[in-house]
Amino acid sequence: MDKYRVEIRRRQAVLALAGIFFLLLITLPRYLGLLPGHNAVVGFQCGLSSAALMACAFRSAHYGRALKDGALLRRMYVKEHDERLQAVRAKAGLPLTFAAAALLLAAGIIAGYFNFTVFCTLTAAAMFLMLLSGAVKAVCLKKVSAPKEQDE
Amino acid sequence: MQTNIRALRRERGLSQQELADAVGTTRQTITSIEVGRYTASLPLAYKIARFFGLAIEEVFDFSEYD
Repeated sequence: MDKYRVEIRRRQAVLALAGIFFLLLITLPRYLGLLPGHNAVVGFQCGLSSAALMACAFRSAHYGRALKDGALLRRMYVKEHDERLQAVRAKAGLPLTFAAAALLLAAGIIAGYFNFTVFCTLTAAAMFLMLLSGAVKAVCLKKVSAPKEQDE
Repeated sequence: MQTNIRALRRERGLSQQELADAVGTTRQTITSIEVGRYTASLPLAYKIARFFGLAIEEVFDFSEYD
C-alpha cells in the first residue's frame, strides 16, 4: 500500500502540471490574440480545456482525500486492480483508445486554426472512437456482471 | 464455470463484501464468480480456495473440462 501511496502522489503531481497546461490553453488565445482561423475552434479549445482543468482538479482532490483516508485508498486500490474490471478495460482498449482520442482532438484543434473542415473531421473521429470504446466497455461489463438480485 | 463459493460462504456466515475484502477483490467480482458469469483467474481462484482452507477443485467445478 505504501507503493500505491507514492503512485497516487506522483499522479497528483502530474495532474497539477496538466492543470497548469490546460490553464495556459484557456488564457493564451485571449492574450496572444486570435490566430487566423475559425472562432469555433478557439471556443472548442477553451471549452475542452476548461472541462479538462475541472476534471484534473476533482481527480486531484479525490486523490488527496484518499491519501488521508486509509479505507478509501484501499477501496481505490482494489477497484483499480480488480481483475474482472481490468479485463473489461482491456477489451474496450482502454487507456490506449482514450489516448488516441485525445491525440486526435489535439491534432484537430491545431489543424483547425488553418482548416475548419479538418478540425470537424478529426473531432468527429475522436468522438466516434470514444463512443465505440464506451459501448464496448458497457457490453463487456454487462456480460461479466451478475444481476443485482444476486448481491448479498 | 460453476463454483461452491456461495454455499461455503454461507456456511461460514460471511457476506460477499467480507469475502471480497479477504481475497483483495470487489464484491461485484465475487457475485459474478458465484453465479458463473465470470471465471476467476488462477491467482484469485487460489486465494479463494486458500481462504476456505480447501483445494481449488473443491471450490471450482472443472467437470466441464473433463
